[in-house]
This record gives sequence, C-alpha cells and structure tokens, in this order.
Amino acid sequence: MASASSQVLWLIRRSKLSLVGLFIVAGFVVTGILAPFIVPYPEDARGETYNIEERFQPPSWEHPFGTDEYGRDVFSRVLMGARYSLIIAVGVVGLALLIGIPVGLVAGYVGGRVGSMLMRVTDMFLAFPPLLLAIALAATLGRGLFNTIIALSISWWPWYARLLYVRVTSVKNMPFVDSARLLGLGRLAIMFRHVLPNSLTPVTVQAALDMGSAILEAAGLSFLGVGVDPSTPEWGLLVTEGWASISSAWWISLFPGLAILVTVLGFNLLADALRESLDPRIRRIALTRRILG
Amino acid sequence: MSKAYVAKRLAMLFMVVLGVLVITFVITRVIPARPELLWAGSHPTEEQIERARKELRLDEPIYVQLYYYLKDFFTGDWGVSWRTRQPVLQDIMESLPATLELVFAAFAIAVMVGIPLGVLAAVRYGRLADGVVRVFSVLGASAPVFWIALIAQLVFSSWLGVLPGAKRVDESVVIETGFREITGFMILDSILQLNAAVLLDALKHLVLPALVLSLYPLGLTARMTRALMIEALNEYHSISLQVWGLPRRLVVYKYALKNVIAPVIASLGLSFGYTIIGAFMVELVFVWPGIGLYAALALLSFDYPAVIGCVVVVALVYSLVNMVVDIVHASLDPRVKL
Amino acid sequence: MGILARGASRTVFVAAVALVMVLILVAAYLATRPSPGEAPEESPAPTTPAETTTPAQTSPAAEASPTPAKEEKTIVIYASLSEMTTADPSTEFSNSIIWMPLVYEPLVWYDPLEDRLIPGLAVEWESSDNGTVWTFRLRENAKFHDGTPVTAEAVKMSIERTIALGQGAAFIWDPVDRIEVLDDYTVRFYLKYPAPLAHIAAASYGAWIFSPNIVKYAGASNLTDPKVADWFNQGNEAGSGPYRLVKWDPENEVVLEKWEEWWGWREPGYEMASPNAPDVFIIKIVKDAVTQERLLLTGDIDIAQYVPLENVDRFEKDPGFVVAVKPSFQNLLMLINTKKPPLDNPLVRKAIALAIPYEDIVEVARAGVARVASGPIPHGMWGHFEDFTYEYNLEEARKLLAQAGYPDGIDRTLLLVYTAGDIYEKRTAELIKTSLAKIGIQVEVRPMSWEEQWSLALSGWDNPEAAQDLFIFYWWPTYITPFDFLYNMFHSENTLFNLAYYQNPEFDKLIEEAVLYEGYDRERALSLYYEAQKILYEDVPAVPLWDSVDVRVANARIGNLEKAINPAYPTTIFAQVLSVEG
Repeated sequence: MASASSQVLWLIRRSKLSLVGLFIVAGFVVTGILAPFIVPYPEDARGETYNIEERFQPPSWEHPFGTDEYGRDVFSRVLMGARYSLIIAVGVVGLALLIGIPVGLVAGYVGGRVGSMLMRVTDMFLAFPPLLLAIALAATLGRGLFNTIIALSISWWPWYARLLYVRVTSVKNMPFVDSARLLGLGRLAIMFRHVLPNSLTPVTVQAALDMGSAILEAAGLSFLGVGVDPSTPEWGLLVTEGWASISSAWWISLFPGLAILVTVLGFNLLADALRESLDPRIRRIALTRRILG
Repeated sequence: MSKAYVAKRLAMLFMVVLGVLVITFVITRVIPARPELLWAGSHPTEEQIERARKELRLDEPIYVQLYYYLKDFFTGDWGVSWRTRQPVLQDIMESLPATLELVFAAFAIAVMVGIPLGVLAAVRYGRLADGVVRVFSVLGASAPVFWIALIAQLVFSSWLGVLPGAKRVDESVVIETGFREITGFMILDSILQLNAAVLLDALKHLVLPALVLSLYPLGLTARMTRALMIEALNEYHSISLQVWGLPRRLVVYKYALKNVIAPVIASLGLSFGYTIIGAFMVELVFVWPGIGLYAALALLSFDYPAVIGCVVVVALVYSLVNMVVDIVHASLDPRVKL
Repeated sequence: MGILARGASRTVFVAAVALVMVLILVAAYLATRPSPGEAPEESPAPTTPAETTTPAQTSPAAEASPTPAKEEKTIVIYASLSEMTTADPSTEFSNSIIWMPLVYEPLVWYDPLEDRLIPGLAVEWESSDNGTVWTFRLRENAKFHDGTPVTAEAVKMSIERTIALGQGAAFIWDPVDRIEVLDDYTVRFYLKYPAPLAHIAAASYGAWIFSPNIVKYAGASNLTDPKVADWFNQGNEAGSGPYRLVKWDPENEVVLEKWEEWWGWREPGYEMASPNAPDVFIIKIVKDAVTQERLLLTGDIDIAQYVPLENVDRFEKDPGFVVAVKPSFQNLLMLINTKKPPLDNPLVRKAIALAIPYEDIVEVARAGVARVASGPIPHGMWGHFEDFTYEYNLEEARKLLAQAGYPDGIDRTLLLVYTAGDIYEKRTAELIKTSLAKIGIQVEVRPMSWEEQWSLALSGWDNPEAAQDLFIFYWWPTYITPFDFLYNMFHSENTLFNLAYYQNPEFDKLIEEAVLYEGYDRERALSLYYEAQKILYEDVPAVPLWDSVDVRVANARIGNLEKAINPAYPTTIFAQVLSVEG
C-alpha cells in the first residue's frame, strides 16, 4: 500500500499539470493563513472603512483588482477571502469526515443488519443531487459561516461513509486482520488499531482533494442568498455583491470568481492526476501506447 | 432477466423517494425549533401561526406528522407559495418545462462537443491537443457556474451584443405572431405551430444559458470519452485490427466509439445532478423562467414552502433520471450484471 | 411456492407502485395546467378573463384576423422591479399601483409638484361648511369597460365598498360620514370633520371607481362578498380607464390593451391623453436593476424602472435613450427602538444622528441620485422644511455619548435590520455600520425578508428588548399630506408602522389638530406640522436618511416620458400620455 506522500511525489514527477495544481493549493493555504498580515489594506479587507473618492476605480498599480462600490480595495478583499474559503473548506471536509468515518467504519466492520441499515441511510442522502440538500438545510438554518459549514458537511459525509465502507469491507478480510483476531485482540482494538488505519488513506486523500468542491459549493450558496453573512469577504459573496455594478465595474465580480476558479482548478488538477495514477488500466495503456507510438 | 433488473431499479427508486421525503421531513419539521414560523409566511399574526401549527399537526406525535406529510405529498398538497400565492405544485409544474428545455439543450451540446473532444484527446494521447482538452475539461468542473454565467452575459450580451442575455423569448415576437403555449416547451411549441419567428428567437435566447450550463457535463463527457477511448484503442482487437491494415479512422469511430457510448451516457446521468443545480444559478442570471429561477427567487424571498417543494421535485427528477440512465446503460452494455 | 413466484409478485408490486407514482405525477401535472379551452368564460364580463399560461389567447394579434396586424399595434414594455400584489381596487395597497391608474380612474388626479388638482371622472368640485361638505360633478361621457356609464351611484358604491372592506388604504375615507347621490352625475360627501376630500379622492390607493356590475360578474351575493375579491384576483377588472387588463400573471407580466372607447381619447386638450399612446402596454417583472439595464440596451424592454444608478449618466449621453429624473415622495428612514436601553436615552439617539455620514450615503448608496433628508417629509412636498437636517459631526456625537454616560461607546452590539435584496438599503446600512463604529457603537447588519423584518419589529411593542435596535425602511404617502408620514410612523396609536415605538402625547396632539386644518387653513396646518417635526428633530425617534429621486430610463422612441411620471402615484408610468413612434 503506497503511502499518500509517495503517491503525490510520484505524481508530481510524472505530470507538470499536477505540479501546477500543487503550487496553487500551497499558495492558497499559505494565503489563507497569512491573509490578515499580508493584505495591503487591512481595513478594506475587514470592511471597516469606506472611501468616497476611491469608488469604482479600475485596476491599477495601487489597486491591482480595482476598488468596489465603497471604494475598498478588491485585491485585499480577495486575499482575505482565501481565509474564509480555507475555513469553509477545512470545516466542511473535517466535519464530514467526523460523521462519515464512524458510519462507514461501523457499517463495514460490524456489517450485518446494522451495517446495511447504516448504508441505507447513507444512500438516502446520496439520492439528493449535490448542493440541493445543503440548500434546504441552509434555508432552514439561516445564513452564517457556521451554518454554511454545517449545511454543506451534512450533504457531504455520505460520500466518505460509502468510500470507507467499501475499503473496510475489503480490509477486514485481509490476512493481517485475521491474525490479529487469532492473537485474541478485541473487536474494538482490531477496528481502531488495524482496520481503520489501513482503510483511511484513500478517504483522507479524497477529502483533501474535495476541498475545492467545498469552496465551489459554498460560493454557490452565497450566490443563492443562503451562504455566509452579508459583507463577509467570502469569494462567492464578493462575486454576488459585485453583480449589481457589473456593467460599469466588471472587476468587482471578475477577480473573486477568478480566485475561485484558480483555487478549485488547483485541487482538481491534483485530483485528476491522482485518479489517473491510481487507475492501473490507464497506466498500463500509457505504457503500451508509448511503445506503439 | 432484464425485467427483473428494471423491477429492482423501480423498487430502489421507491425507496429513494421515501428516503428523500423522510430527510426533507426531518429538515423542515424536526430541526427547526419552531417549524410553524417557517410556514406561517408574511408577517404572521398569532392566528396565522396557530393555523400553521394546526396544519402541520405539530401537536401530534412525530410519526403522525410524518404520516400526514407523506399523505399530503402523494395527494399533491404541497402548500402555497408566499411569493406567488399559488399552490407550490402548480408553480413547479408550470416552470418545469423551461428548465427541462434548458437542461436538454445543455446535454445536447455536451454530447455533441464533448465526445469528439474526448476522441481527439485519446487519439492524440500525451500531445498538445490532449493537454488542452484535459485542462479544458478540468476547467469546466472548477469554474463557479454563476460566475461564468455573469461573465458570459456581460461579454456576449452587454458588450458585444451578439446574443440576448435574458429571458426565454422576446415578448413582442410572441404577441405579434400569436404564438400560444401547448406543452410549455418553447422550441417544440413553435415547431408545432410552424412559427419560425418564435423558434428562431427562442433558439437565440437559449444559446448562452445552455452553453454556460453545458460546461460541466461537457468536461465530464470529454474526460470520460477520453479515458475509455484510450482503453478501447489499446485493447487487443483494435491493436490487431490496426496491424491488419484497417484504416485508423475506421478503427477509431466504428469499433472503439461503440464501446464508449454506454459509459458516456452513465457519466451524463452522473452530471445531471450538478447540471440541474447549476440551472438554479444560471436561470437566476439569465432570468430564465424555470424551476431554478423559481427556487432561487424563493430562497431570496424566504418563501419556505416553495423552497422545500423545489428540493423535493429536483431530488425526484434526479432519482428518476438516474434510474433511466441505469436501465439504458444496462441494456446497452451487456457487461453490466443484470 | 418458489423463489420465482415470490420474485414475480414482488416485481408486479413494485411495477404497480412505480406506475401509480408516475400517474400521480402526470395527473398532477395535467391538473395544474389550465388548458386553453377551459378558461373561465364569465358571460357578460367586461374584459376577457386573463389566463396564467396561454398568453397568446388574449393578445391583440391573436384576436385579429389572420392578416398581419403588425404595423398597426405599438407595443411598449415597462420593466417593474417588483411582482404584482392583488388586483382588487378597493383593498390593493402595494405594488399593483404600477398598473391600476391606467385601468381605473379616480374622481380627481393630483399633481403634487405644481400642487394642482386635475379632473378625472369629476369635472368640478367644491367644498362648503369649512370643508365638511364636498360636492363632485361627474363628466357625462365616461363609461366603464363593460359599457355601463359612470354615474354618481357607481361612485357611491365603489367608495362604500372600499370603506366597508376596511382594508388597505380604506382609512383615507375615515372623515366621510355619508355619501349622497344628488342626481345621475352629482355626488355629495358629508364629513365628520374637516378634511381635504378632493386630495383624498386623488389618493394613489383606495380611491378607484369601478362598475357596479361586479357583484353579478363574480356571482356574489353583495359587494363585500369575498367572491368579488376572488373575481378581481383572477385577473378581471371593471374600470373606466384608457387601458384594459388583458393578461394577469402577477409574477411575470401584466398586459394592458388600449381601450378605444375611453372618453379621454376624444376630449380635445385633455392633458392626460396623447394621440400616440401605445396600443399595448406590458408590465414585465424584471427583478433587478442590472437585468433591466441589459434588457433596455438590447431593446427587449422600452422603459426601465431602475437601472444601476452609477450608469445613469451613460444613458444621458446616449442619444438612443431618454432619462427622466423626477422627485419622488419616497424616503428612507432609520427608526430607532426608543424603548430599548441605551437607545431610550434621547442623547444617545442624537449622538447616532450626528454620526451618520449623510452626504456619503447619498453618494455611495444612490450614486448621488437622492437628496439628504431634512425631516421625515420629503423634498418637494408641502409640509417639508429645510431646517431639519442633522450635521455629520463625530466630535459632537462623542460628546453627547459621554454626556449620556457612555464615554467609551456602547457595550453591546446594536442590531440593524434592512430588507434583503435592496441594494440601496444594503449600502446605506454598510456605511452606517462603519460610521457608528467610529464613535464606539458596534452594529450588526442583518438583511431580512420584509415579512420577517416587519414581524420582528411588530413584536417590539410587546417586547422591545427582543426587537431590533435600528430599522431601515422606506415610506411613501397614500395621499399627499404630511399627516400620512407623521401619523403612520410616529403617532402612538399606530402600532403597525410606528416601529420606533415612539410615544409622545404632545406630538400626537399637534398632528391631530393640524390635519383638521388641512382642508381650509393650509397656513395654520403648516405651522402645526412644523412644530411637530421640530419635536421629532429634538427627540430623534428616527433618523431620516434620504429622499429619493426617481430615475426612469427609456428607449428614445418613447416620447413624453417626463410627463408620464407623477410622484403622487409612485412607479406608475401613465401610458396614456406617452407618445410613441414606430
């Protein structure tokens, strides 16, 4: 079983695109963490000021992304937005794992009636198209950063439950688990010390790569008016709030959207390369084709 | 054998529908502290809140509430929209054709452009064209669809003025030509009435939103086709056929492509979910009067019964489409276990 | 009994269930789509019943013979920002004002900018006995769309129905004691107390005259039977105005068609009619300014209710468009919860009033297209005075706060609510938040639906602690009087809109007295209104923010746009005075 890090290394050596992806993701995470310290106009980023003379300035050296209807620096707000997107991404995926892992683990390891019932419930959640359940929940809970994270993670965990379930059912029949059982280890001990660690990798890798989709969907919720609170510099909301003046000041909506696009692209490029590398058929085929020319 | 599969799939659908209803029930009735406030609508008086309590049977045990919830659903009593003051089900049925038209158009574009792109990438595996197609397909999945819609509208409609950027059809064309609705599908209706002016106008209005909406399924189709074509092209028979001297083009299109169609249909089924949610936002931007616009406006105006109605309907349509796709897929691809 | 049999029966069961479900869906679909054939065909109905899904059915071209009627019909499309509300002329008190003045007529119209009354269905009127008796003489050539003449009896019946229903703007008729028909074309009102009845009869709501046959059309037992309201809300009308309602689809569009038999078309020199008025006038609901702007640019609509204000000057420069700028009597105020500490302290309220950057708000929120308010009565209206503007002075504001016992600012976060989706309110709220932070007052800004916002505010009468602190909201008058503003928002008895929970007997007494003088002693009324506003200025139950200026942008082929706008009837475009080419 290849470890996640060695897989990633293999990938990067193989494909330039995945390297680009890696750079983007790293840049995003660093920006998200450092945003409050590196933004050129911290007050603008936090929305604590406005400036009449500077309204609707097109991009310039001073304001690379222009200024918005309050005369705030869009670049600062987009940088700050990385922080919110990072919080949302980590929050959604983390919470989803927190629900999905126990469900998948118990369903897969205990199996039987309990297992199939848990998976039935999981499948019910999967019957909703992506984002739809989150929309219903967000409409019920109301706006806000925390509610957005909850709404998204509730519609998200079933994927991880299912993924882990599949993994666990195959791992639990592997020889080393049998030998642990023969050694007289308890069920719980086997579950947590042997089965879980050996099943977790694909789920966590998948989860990390899903952060891009989490950012995308949170932006969608903001656009539909059920996302984060107004005037939070979340990217989706920045695009939405710029909509009103898009015909005269396109930059207010353009740049935050571009930020979403680039970030999600980063995650997806990594995911794509990973998927390809994990698909043994394509790897074999790639070899064949190189021989055939 | 195939019948048994269909039956099994139908049974699953039924379970899924029940599941969807149970989950929406939990979301709307169990999670909120005072569900009646969400349903009591415009500046409720004490009486209205009381009436909502009664209508929702909140004083009864939860399983009784669930029973009536399901009963109301199956009898078509989905509540009244606060925004339109019409039964939610009626509103939804009126706006469904517009959305289906848009989604069909998006899928048509996805198939007609996506498959050739995928084939191209596979044939040129590892070369520039492949890279371009791959990046493009990943882009399609990475871009926020509402942002693409805004930008497309700005560029093609406001700046260049080449395409209309809002609505389904020009009102005055409809009035001048005496066009009338039959099925609710504008394109179909105008063909049925041999109304070329409306047909042309409706098509013009359809192009931009459909293109924007097609980006995701298009990317997915291209990617899927590419992966499968690479595989198919390398399978023993096509390699040997090529060795035997059959023209490469024939190998590509006849033998390999045949193996690709079924999985591509499956992938379209997969992307249907994303596409219909994307339609919520695209319709809002392009003022396209479908269920997406209806749902988006309901969300923006806190019209709770309408939101939940849309959620249920979209989940149903999604499940139904998935079932049909599975069945079609199964009948096309003998390898799928029936 | 093998597996096969069980499997088969299960298959049958599942198939049956699925079939039933599909049938339910199909049935529901069919049931909810009215087919063109079953349109409600009220036999003597004056107008074609409007339908929801078959627009062409009633469209002019469809009614015409197969020969193309294209060149003959001029169509003007006006984009409305809001959906229509109801269609009952007695109770409607909201967005339907956008079309009602085209379909219905009042006795009198009012031009507030020139402070002048214009004849409507009445040609002359006079008051006697200190404004307690009013007599209106009707024109004799006016007819309702169903062909019945507009008589004194119809006027009496219309107003009595409005009064009897007691909803919407029915309160405007509160002064009326009884209505008497003197002859077919003369009607007299006896009032309980003096009131400017001609102005009241020109109100934008609740003053419409309609055909007495509605009871018959609706199959109702009497005028107040809910069936009548239902009949109206199905898209029927019974007016006498220049346009007929031919399609009623309140969330999407309202189609009006010119009614050739309107008396005004043939009345030489009548100022509210134009020979080139459009044949078809469509009100299309387009819910945001950006989309309206785009549709205007592409020629899909002819008149926009709102375009993003930042872009107005671009349209002004463009010869393809005309821009009409008119004062509007709509203003934006911030009501302060006067019952919730520390806002119950007038010093704190005054400090807030001094810490709001009025000029900046007008600049940012309205792109300069508004005026800084001076008191709650908007510019251009009688009863407005220039000396009630607060100065933006943070130094002074901090001093007042310290004086009130809060030298370091307020220790809790104030909740400011506004109507979600309104960009002007949103930007205003944002600036207020930023600005109050500078004097140590933290504000949380929360967008809510109007319903939510209003119900939260209403709850404040019982529990001011749980209600909002600051409430941003628009007011516009039902009929043009300062009393409308002052009574609704500040009188202690008005619990519906006095959402500052302001109670001041001295103020109440002043405006109650002032309104009595309105009918015959305007000067006296004015001085009392001045006193009342002075109290508000000192007490600060609300901070008036800005008075809006209406901007309508239209395609250049639309002539007389300026003339078609009247601030007494907000959002209405009087299509009958438009002059349209091509």
